[in-house]
Amino acid sequence: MAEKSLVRRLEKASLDTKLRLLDLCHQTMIHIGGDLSVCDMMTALWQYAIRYDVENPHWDGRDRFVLSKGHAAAVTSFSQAAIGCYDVQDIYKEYATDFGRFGMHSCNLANPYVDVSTGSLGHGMPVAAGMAAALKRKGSQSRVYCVIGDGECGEGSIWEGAMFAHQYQLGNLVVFADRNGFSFDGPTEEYMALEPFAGKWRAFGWNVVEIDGHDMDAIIDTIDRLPDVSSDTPTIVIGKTAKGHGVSFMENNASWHAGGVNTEDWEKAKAELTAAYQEKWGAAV
Amino acid sequence: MSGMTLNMEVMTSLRDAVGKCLAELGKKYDNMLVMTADVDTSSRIQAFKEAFPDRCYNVGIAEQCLMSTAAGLAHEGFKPLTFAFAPFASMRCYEQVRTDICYTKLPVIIIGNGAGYSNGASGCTHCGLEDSALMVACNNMTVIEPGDPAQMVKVLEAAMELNAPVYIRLGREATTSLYAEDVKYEIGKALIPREGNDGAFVCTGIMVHFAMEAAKRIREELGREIRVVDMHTVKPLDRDAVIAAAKTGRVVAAQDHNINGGLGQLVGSTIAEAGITCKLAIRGCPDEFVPIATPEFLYARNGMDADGLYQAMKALL
Repeated sequence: MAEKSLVRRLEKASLDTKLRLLDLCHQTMIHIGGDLSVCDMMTALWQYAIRYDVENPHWDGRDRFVLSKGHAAAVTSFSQAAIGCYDVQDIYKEYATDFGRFGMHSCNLANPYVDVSTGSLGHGMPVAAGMAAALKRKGSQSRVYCVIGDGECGEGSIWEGAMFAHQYQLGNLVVFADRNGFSFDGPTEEYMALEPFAGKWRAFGWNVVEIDGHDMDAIIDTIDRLPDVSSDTPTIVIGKTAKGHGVSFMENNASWHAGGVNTEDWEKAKAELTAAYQEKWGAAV
Repeated sequence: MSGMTLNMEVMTSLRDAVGKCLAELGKKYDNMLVMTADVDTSSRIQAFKEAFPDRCYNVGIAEQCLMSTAAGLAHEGFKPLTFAFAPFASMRCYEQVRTDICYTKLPVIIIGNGAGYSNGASGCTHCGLEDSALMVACNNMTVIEPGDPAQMVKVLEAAMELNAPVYIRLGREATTSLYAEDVKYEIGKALIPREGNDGAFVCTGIMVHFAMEAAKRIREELGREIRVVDMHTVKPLDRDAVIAAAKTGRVVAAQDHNINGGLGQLVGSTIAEAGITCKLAIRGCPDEFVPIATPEFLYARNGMDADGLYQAMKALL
């Protein structure tokens, strides 16, 4: 069990990011469904797990981060802003603008806090595996954290990367899978079934951890118990999540894959998320 | 690649040159890695592998993985040389090459074996007839087609120094050598193995050898002097060399590649943009797939062999 104060701090941090996502979604179009589903895990990654130096984003001793589900760029940017990579207001100002640092997918040419440009699905994970191989060669103590979506596991390249990570014993590679059960068109199990999802990864020789991807306690616990960097087995944390999590009219609704919210929905969504936090922690936000 | 029969005992000079060169380069660059997609043997990497067994990755039959993991290694300061057959190194993983490697201008060298019709006997799947066009279309990519063992060594040295994505297509092996070992080589600067002002062949790879034969025959039979321009770098194209060739009034451009998107069209647009009036013929693979056939048959059928190039130039004289 993680310390209660830590859980509360990270849940508050996640709420802050969700509210900011909704503000951005009120301003323009973002991938709100997948942003919300991965937000709790993303918050824990950036505000708890990842070893990083905001002053020196290319510090060799940092943990690497690759957003394989590149469309979750907004939640990543807000998570990075929370540790001081940028001012939150910069994201509202620059998002999807000409030569802005922030867009619907992550871009390393525009943004030094992005290691790998992503957006096309199935790319980031094998690139992360290559980075993990490189760090292993260098004897580095850094990890490579990679966030994948479940839908992108339809791409064969994910499984090529999974085989590579197993073959080259990349215990420094930690993949978080946002198993929200939806791809662009609808439920994964309806369109192209992924189950037994955990079984597939086990069969590929990975260390598999299955958690509720919205249970901050479990997320922290998983991070605390990650195998040593020098271990031989790559790890995948499969977080069972809900697309559009925490907003009643978005949750598990494929039509909220991407879009913008009108003012009425915006207020309603923020009120719901805030109320849920207050109900649990009994404190004013 | 299954079902393919390769005689591994047949020594082929270009690839052998690569093999010898790799081990030397490995000593010079301690961040150099060699990666293949199940083509260790046919890529002649053995000498490197023996010298640096822990600097090799064989990802299995997985070209997408080859390019993405190479990109990951390059992100961390390594210089991977990746090997696969030309059609698979280009088409199977094109998006990985474009997005994972070229977008960030990572120093990954991609070597595509069996380019053009050189694998004709293996059939359509193993003929890399689109690779040059695809790689030329990739921003930040340099595309090179060496046709000579001595040149190949220089190409690899230059590619390592470039620190950017490079695609090297290796096609049909020549039985003759055009250059001495100390040939001066520069990426993007054409070589002129034969001078002449009555016309010019602008070619890459094996086509340079055929052009040399054709030019010799034209001198002997017709008394005209035809220049041979070895356009080993397809991108960036040596525009000055093309314009100089066009000023002879007659250009035959040939590449062992589809005509569509190939060297000839790049040469043609360069001449047109320069506003030069010049007779132009393009030789390469026409817009048709053919069933299994030998390279010799295919070169002859499409007017790409020495006789075909001779006839093409003769028609312009």
